[in-house]
Amino acid sequence: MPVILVSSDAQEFKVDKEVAERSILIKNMLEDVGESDSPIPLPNVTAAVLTKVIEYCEHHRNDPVQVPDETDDPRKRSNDIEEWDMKFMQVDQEMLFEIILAANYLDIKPLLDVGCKTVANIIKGKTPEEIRKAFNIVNDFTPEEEAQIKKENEWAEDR
Amino acid sequence: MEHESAAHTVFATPELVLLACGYLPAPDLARCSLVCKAWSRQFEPILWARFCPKQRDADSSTDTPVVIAGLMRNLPHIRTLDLSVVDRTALQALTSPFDLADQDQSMLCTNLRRLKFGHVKYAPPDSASISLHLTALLNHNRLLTQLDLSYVFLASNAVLAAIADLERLQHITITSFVGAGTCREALLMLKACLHLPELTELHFIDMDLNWDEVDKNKEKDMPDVETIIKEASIARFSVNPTAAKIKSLRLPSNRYGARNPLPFLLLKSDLLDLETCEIPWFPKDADPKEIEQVVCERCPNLRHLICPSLRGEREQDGKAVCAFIRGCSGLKSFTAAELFSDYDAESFDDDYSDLEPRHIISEVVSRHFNTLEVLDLRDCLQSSVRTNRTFLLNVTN
Repeated sequence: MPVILVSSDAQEFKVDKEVAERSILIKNMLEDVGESDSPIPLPNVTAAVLTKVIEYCEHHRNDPVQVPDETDDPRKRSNDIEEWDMKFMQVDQEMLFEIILAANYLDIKPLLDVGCKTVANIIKGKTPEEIRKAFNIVNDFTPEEEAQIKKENEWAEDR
Repeated sequence: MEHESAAHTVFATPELVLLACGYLPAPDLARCSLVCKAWSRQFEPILWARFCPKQRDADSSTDTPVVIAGLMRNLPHIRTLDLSVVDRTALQALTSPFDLADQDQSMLCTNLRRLKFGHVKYAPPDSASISLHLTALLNHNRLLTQLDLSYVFLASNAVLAAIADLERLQHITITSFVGAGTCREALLMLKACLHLPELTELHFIDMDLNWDEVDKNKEKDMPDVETIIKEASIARFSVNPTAAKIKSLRLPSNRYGARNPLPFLLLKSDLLDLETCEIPWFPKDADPKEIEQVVCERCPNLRHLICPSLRGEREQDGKAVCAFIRGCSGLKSFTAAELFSDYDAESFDDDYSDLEPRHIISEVVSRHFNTLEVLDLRDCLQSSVRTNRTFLLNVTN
């Protein structure tokens, strides 16, 4: 049975239940209301972003459920994004972050992970100045403050 | 004003920053802290959550006030502290605030979960005073789950007492580096940690003990192995019947083939439900049949075996090793990274021919070929002994 999702700008999307349920938020909503064909409003997601999210969920509709790993510390790898996901994430930066916010709101863990890996890959290896440029951030440190923090963090630099 | 960009929202949401940071190594986190004030607030705590200062050069600038200021500001964020090389200035900064009466309690280093300490080859000359700092750290960090310590600090009773209070400790590793250690320290250590209810991994690395000491010093203050194990079983399971059992074990080795009462007593106790284990050092006169039987009965879940290296003054009975392997059912992995490292067929005279690595490996392969997934003989294929190499190629195929 299809489910109807409504974006913040009032566009309706008809998707298979199994696709919609990739979102834990929607899955829980559907479980709470039981059999019902009333549309589900998603006031935090625009139609443009929802289109992308649904595209992702369609592609991954048969993926096994992820088991959360409990290790809260060891650094994880970000170079294991599969090819389809990599292409999927080739969007402009605003869209990338919109997808991350939507994945967070809709509780789609694998999509959130791919989004965060993509962001990590953008940051990796860049100098602070290059990061500022990449994300359009203004440096509000005085040169002295910046020098002090740089010194304090020296232990973490590459050997 | 236009509305906040999605990027801005993401970087202002701590849990999303934390997720992305999970994929970033420390140097990148350090650079992120320099981007702007907002990023600094987000990234600095994450960077400092894992504090592992590098080894300092003599002319290093790490002990300037500026750097210590960074450490002091981030004390409560540190969860993993790697002082492999003990940095006295850092240690001072970590522990001195504990003693200040008017110190803000939320700014102390009290959130450690993992601590690695003192991995130097030789004991520092002032190891007694360093032990005091270590004791303070341990006493203020009762939520530690992992502790990795150089054996030299076991000489301090205060350290041992502090370890005995780490009720959340799951993993403890004691490393010697020089193949040294005394039975008294090892036994006091066992006494301190065997009753900890959540302990599941107990590792002694490179610690060679001369168990003859135990017999000689029985009258003195040498703890009795049997009593330690009995008391630990009672403490662990009477208070909490569902207390964890030790799943991974590496015991100290024997020097000169002395009688080591530990392996049998531990294996027969209720303290273990082994999944991973280094083959322990049995006394020379141990009966292989008995070893096989005890392992078979007491270690039904043992899946991963580590074979100790057979070098130096250690004496290991190859029959005991093979018996241990036979006692296991369904091994999944066998690691003998150092088994061949300085193996030389000539040096094995007839008495020790059963120690030949090939006997051990074929025992593993013939017994466990159905279940074995990993056979890690890292250094073995580099072995200069050609016969071994051909032999290994045969079994690995």
